[in-house]
Amino acid sequence: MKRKTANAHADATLARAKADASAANAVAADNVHTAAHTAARDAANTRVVTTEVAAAIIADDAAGFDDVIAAAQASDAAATKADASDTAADTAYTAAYTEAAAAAAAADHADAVAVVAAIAAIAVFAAVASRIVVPVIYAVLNRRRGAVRDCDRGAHGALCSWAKRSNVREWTLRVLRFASIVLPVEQRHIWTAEVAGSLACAETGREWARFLLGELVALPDHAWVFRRRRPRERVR
Amino acid sequence: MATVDQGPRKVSQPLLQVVGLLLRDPTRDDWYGLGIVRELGLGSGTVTQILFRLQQWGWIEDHWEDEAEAHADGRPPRRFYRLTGAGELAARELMRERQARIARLQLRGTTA
Repeated sequence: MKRKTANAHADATLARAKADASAANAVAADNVHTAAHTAARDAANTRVVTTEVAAAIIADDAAGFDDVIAAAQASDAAATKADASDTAADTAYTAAYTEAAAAAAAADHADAVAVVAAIAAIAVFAAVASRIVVPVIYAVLNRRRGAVRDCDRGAHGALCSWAKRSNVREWTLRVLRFASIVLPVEQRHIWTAEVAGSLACAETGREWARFLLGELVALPDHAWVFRRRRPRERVR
Repeated sequence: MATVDQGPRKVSQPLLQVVGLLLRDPTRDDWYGLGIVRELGLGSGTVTQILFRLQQWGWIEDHWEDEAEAHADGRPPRRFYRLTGAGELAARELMRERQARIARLQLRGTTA
């Protein structure tokens, strides 16, 4: 009998233990469930917050991106405008430089032309001076020195007397007589007669004119050579 | 006393041409201005000055053409030139010197 009682007690204890264990398990499960629920809720909250924050950040970023795009577009526009200004400035500079270069070239050309013209003018003046002014000076000097003398006139007179009997044109003799006043007195009638004699032998008009012009053009040189080489004791 | 040059200080090409022409026939005594111009193609003024210088040096002498002969042709007498004996020697010496100088220059040009 005792044995039955013990078994029953044991069974009761076991049942009680099982019940306790089940209760503990239930509590633990409940705790776990609660913890899980809490965790899930926290996670959800966190996710919501994170999503909102992310959305806000994205929104902020979007707003900022728009600003950046707007700023960039504004910057691009400004840069484009600046480029256009630079291009316009370059074009203006190029045009101004080209114009200035053309003006400088024109100025250089004008300078060159002016220099050539000046040289030509000097050459012409020197030629005129040597062929006209110098003979006049020689003529004046000869007249001052009393170079025109009776013997000279006599020689010219004799020259004209035979010239009238020749084929030499009278105006040619007049030209030669007039031109010979630049020569020293002792050379005048000699030169005149020599040129007249050569002219009378000219075969063509061209030869005649060339010889006469050559002599007349070279008269200042004749005067210089004859004067430089003339004897110190002149024939008076 | 007259001061007369004895020779050229500077020899020009026209001077050599005139001297060479006179040396072609040293005995010829009827060279005149236009004739020399016609022969050489030089300017009349150049020839006149060269003849004047040659005369000053004593290389040539002048004489006038016979008046009766010239008047018979209806023209004034010409002034003729001829080489003198001393002028012929001096002219030949000048030409020989010039030819030697030209030969030296040509030799220098070929060896350079």
